[in-house]
Amino acid sequence: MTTQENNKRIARQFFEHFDKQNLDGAFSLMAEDAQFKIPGKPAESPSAGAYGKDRLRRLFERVLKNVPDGVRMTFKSAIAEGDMVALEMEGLGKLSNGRAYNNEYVILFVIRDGLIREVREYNDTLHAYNVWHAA
Amino acid sequence: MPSNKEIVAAAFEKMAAGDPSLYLGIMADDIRYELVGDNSWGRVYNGKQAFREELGRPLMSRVAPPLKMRVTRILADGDHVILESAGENATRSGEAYNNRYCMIMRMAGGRIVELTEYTDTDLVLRRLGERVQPPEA
Repeated sequence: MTTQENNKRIARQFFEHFDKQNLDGAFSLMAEDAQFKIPGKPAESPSAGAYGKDRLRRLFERVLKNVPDGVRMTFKSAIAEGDMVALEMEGLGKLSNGRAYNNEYVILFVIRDGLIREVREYNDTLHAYNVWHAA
Repeated sequence: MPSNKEIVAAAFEKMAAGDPSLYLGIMADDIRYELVGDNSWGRVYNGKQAFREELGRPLMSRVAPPLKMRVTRILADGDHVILESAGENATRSGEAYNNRYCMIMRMAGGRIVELTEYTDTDLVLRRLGERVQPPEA
C-alpha cells in the first residue's frame, strides 16, 4: 500500500471510530501535539477555533452525549498527495432534543509516520450553528 | 501540457490579485458548481452561465470588488485538485469579509467540470445576508 493509500485509510478510520463512538480508537491515531481546527470565527461561532487533543476529546464527548445514537458518517471522496489527505463526508445524527444534525464536510489532514498531525475541518457552519446553538 | 494542479494554481495566482479571468476561463461551460450549505446560497449551479449570473452577480453585489482569494494549500490526485484558500475581502458597506474556502475540483481536458465548494456559511449569511438576485444591469 502506498503512503497516500495508507494515509487515506487513517483519515477514514478516525471518523469510523467516531461513528462507532470509539474515542479511544480515534484518538490513538493522533499525535500527542496534533492540532484540529474547527471552522468559523471564534467571536461568532462558539465551537470555532484550534483544539489540542484533550480539548478536542472533550468536544467530541459533548457531541456524543447530545446525540445518543451517535453520528453516522458516510464517506464521499478521499484525495491524497504527499502527507495531505482531503476527506469528504456527510454526517447524520439526531440530538436528544429531536433536532437532526446532517452536516457535510471536507476535512484536510496532515498525516506523517502513521499519525494525524494537523486537521482543518470545513463544514456547513450555519447548519451547525442552527442545530447546536440557535434558540 | 501543464498538470491539473499547475492549471488551477495559475488561475488562482490571478485570483489572489483580484483577476477572475483565468479561473472563469478554465471552467467548463457545463460545469457543475455546488456550494455546500443549507441556505439561500447553497445549491448546485449548473453551467458557467448560471454560476456567473446566479452566484457571481449576487455575491459581487455584496462584496467590494475585486474578490481576492489567496491559496493556502493545493493538492492533486488523479483527476482531482483540492484547493484551500483564504479570502481577503470587505463588504460594500466596509465590513471585513475574510472567509476560508476548500474546493474539490474534478478536471477533464484541462477544465474544471465539477467543483464542490465548502466555506464558512455562517459567516456568509452574517456578512452578506441572503442571496438576492440583483436587477439586470
